[in-house]
Amino acid sequence: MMTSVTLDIPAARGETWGGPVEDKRGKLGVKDEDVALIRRVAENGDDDALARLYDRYAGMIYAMGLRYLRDRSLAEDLVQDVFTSVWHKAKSFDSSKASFMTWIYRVARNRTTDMDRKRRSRPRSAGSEPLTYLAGGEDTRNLAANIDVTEALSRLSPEHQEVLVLAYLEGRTQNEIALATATPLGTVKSRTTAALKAIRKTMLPEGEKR
Amino acid sequence: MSDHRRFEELLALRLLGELGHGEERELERHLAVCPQCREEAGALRLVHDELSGASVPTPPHLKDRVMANLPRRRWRVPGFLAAAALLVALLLGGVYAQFFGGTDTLAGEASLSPTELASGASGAVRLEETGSNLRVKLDVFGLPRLRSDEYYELWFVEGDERISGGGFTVDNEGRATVTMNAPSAADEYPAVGITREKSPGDPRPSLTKVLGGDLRRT
Repeated sequence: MMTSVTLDIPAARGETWGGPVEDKRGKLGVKDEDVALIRRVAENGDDDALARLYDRYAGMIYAMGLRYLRDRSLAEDLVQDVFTSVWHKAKSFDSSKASFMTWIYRVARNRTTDMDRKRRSRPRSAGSEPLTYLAGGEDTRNLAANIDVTEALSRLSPEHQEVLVLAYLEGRTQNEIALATATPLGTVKSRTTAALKAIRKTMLPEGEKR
Repeated sequence: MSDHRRFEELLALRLLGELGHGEERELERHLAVCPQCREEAGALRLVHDELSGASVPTPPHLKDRVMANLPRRRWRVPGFLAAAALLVALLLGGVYAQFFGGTDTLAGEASLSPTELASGASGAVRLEETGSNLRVKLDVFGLPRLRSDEYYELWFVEGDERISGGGFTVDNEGRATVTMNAPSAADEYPAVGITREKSPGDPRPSLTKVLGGDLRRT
C-alpha cells in the first residue's frame, strides 16, 4: 500500500539537502519546489520544509474546513490533522502520479469527510459545549457531490495550478509570478488566462455560464 | 492573437487588477458590442470570486500549534527532558482519566500478543475519542525490564507505515498503565505494536518489537 517516493527533479539541477533547490533557470516552479520540500520532509524530517508547505497551503485547507465543517475550531483541527498526515505520509507522495497540491487536497478532502461524518454521528448532549457554527447553519454542503473551487484547482495541469496558486493562494502579481518562475511575463499572462478558462470549464460546465 | 483571445486575456487581467487604463477602456468598448465576451466576463467573474475565497488567513497561533505537535520531533529533546515530560504526561493523563474517564466514545481496541523477544508479556490498547484527538489507554504486563536509557514505544501500523503513539516505561515487574494522546487519524491504522527503543534515538521504530495486535475499530 505504501509506495516509495518518486521524485522528478534531475540530479543535474544541483539539488542539495536542506537548502534551496534550483533548476537551470535559477528558479523553481511551484510544482518542483513542492516536490523538493516534501522530499526534505520525507527523508530528513525537515520541519522547516513542512512550514514552507504550510505557508502555501494551510489557508486553502482552512478555507475548506470553514466551507464544509462550518466551525472554526474544527477547521483548525482539520489543518492540524492534514499537516500531521503530510508529515507521516510524506514518503508515500509520488510526484509522477499527482502534484503536491492535488495530493494534499485529497488528504484534506478525505479528512474533511471523516470529520464531518463523526460530527454528524455524535449526539450533542444538553451539557456539552455548543458548537460555534458559522453563518449558514448545519446544512453542510455535500463534499462528494460538489466540485468546489479547490477540487477544480486540484484537477488542473501543474502549469495551470502554478499560476493560480501563486496568484490566488499567495497573492502574487503577474510580474512577481514571472520573476518567481523565470517565465516571460507574456507567457504568464496567457497561461493565467488559459488556467482561468480551464477551471471555469470544470466548475461551470456548458450551459451553466452566467 | 484573435480579438476574442486577446479580450479574454484582458478580462482575466482585469479580474487580477492588472489592466492599464488604456486597456480597460478598450475592453469596455469591446464588451459593449460583444455578447460572447460579456458572457465570458460573467463566467470568469464567478470563477475569480470562488478562487479569491479558496484561501483565507489562518489564525496566527495555528502554525505554532501544528509545528509543535509534530510527533517525530522527540529525538531532538534531551533524554532527561523527555523523561520528565513523559512523567508529567502520565500524571496528568492519570488525573484526567480519573476525573473524566468513561465519558468518551470507544473508537477502537486491540489485544496485544508477545513476540519471541518478550514471551510471557501481554497487554491491551483502548482508543477513545476525545475532542479532536484520541485518548490511548494502554495496559501492558510482563515486559522485560529496561535499562536507564531505554523506553518502550507504541506504534500505529499500516503496512510499512508507522506513527508513534508515545513512549512509556514499565515498573520492576514489567507492568505499565498509561494514558496518552494520539492524532485522530490513529484509529484508521489496522494494527498496533510496541517496540523497545533507546533514548535519544532514531525517530523510526527499532526492530525490537515486543508486543503487537490488530486494531479493531468500533
